[in-house]
Amino acid sequence: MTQEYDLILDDVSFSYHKDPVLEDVNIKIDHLDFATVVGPNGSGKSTLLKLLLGVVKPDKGKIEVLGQSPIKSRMHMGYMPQYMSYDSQFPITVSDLVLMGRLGGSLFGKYTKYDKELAGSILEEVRLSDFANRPFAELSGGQKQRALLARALCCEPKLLLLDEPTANIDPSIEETLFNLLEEINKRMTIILVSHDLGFVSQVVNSVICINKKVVVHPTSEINGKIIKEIYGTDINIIRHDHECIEEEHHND
Amino acid sequence: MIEFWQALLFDPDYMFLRLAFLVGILASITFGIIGTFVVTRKISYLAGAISHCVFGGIGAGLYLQEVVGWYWFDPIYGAVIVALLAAVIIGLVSLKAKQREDTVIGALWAIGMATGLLFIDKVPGAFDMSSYLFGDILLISKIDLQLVIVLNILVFAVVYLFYNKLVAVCYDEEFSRLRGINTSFYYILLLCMTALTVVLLVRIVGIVLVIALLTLPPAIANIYSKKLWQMMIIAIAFCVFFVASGLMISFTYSFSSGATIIMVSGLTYIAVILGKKFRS
Repeated sequence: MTQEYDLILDDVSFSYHKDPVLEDVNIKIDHLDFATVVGPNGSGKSTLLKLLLGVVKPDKGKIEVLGQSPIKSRMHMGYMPQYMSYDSQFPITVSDLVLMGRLGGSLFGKYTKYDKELAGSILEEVRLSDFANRPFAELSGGQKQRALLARALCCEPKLLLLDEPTANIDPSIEETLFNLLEEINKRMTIILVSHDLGFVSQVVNSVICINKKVVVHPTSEINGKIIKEIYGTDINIIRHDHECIEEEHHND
Repeated sequence: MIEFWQALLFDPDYMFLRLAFLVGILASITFGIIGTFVVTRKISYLAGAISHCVFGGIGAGLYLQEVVGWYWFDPIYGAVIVALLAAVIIGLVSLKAKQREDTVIGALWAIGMATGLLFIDKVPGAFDMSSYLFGDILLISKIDLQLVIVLNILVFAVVYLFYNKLVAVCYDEEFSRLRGINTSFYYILLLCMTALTVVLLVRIVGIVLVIALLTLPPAIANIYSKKLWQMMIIAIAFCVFFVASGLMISFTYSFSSGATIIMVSGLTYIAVILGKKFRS
């Protein structure tokens, strides 16, 4: 039963020091879905990602990722963080960064021939082959995002989690990134988190909106593949189809 | 300068100099490798706290030796035990206490120093504290040579075997944890290796000057390296150069060895940074 969905959040609540961040969240995401979690800063997006990755545990409710607990499914998740958080002076090349995705399987963490070949072919897929031996810090913002995407793909994940992939990136580069993601989406489920609604394009199958302050969307207005409306006392997570635009929230 | 090399190589009265030189050069391997991690993982403050806690261990060691009568108990054993203890405590504090980490570590820093002073108060006879605070190559003994050889083998083996994991843990702890790596274990392991390195450093440059020799060579190496292992090798080379030229200058002009080594390192670092600024 549960295997039908790659991700299930069942009545999940979470709070930091008694401040509720997420309340009674219910989400179901299909296999090979391309879902986007949208909400302004402080809306609980990052917390949701941490819950999915098993970094924090919910106070209440149940999370199932790929049919198992988040911690058990960790090795099947590819996580792409934001590139701004990295130390720009740390000496590391692009290919070494990407190879980090292969860690975890063995005791010593030595990279095998397969690991290196995989990293090479993924770098080709994200069009960074020419930069494999360059220091990661010297790449442009868009290239850094693609390198981090390559590292997430190097985990050979079944589920790809992307944290703000469009932050600090030119719109033209954003386009390339989304074409790439569309291609990747053919073989794995993607969940993307963003504070910016602008990019919510045709690529994305479903949108989950998070914000403490947004008033409830009437259910009747929503018709997505999976229609779910989730709301608590001061948080709403609303899922709709492609036409999610900012005004809709403010009009409510 | 010639006198230095003559004394170093031939003069039988200068055994202590040969020993200090040998320990300093061999220790550079460990300093370069561990220093690279300390710099890139940004834990030099923690290393500073460990080094000041070492003073407590030295004080306790002297007390046990002189007052309690454990003649076999060289203060360096006290230093090693306390350094490892401090590394584990500081590591746990920095992993568990999300806030006010620096306050707790600052407190440990001071308590370590104070403990050492209180023990030394109760040790009869004159005690030259400055040799521990600022280093004294006359104090370097065969035990240090054994310690440096063991530590070099240990550090090289651990870093060689777990290189990829250590790089990942230092660069991106969150991602490493998500890849199933026990990041806390590697963090504590790194701190324990740092602690042992600090004990060695204390013998050569003294408690107060530890941080400089641990961080300056890697900081210079950082500018010229693309990968972490390159940074380690370049740091080792700079460290050898600083220790050798520092000892040579201090011998020739009768300066304190620790202070001279640090002065050479510090001035080189400033020159390199300025050079880089002007070129770009």
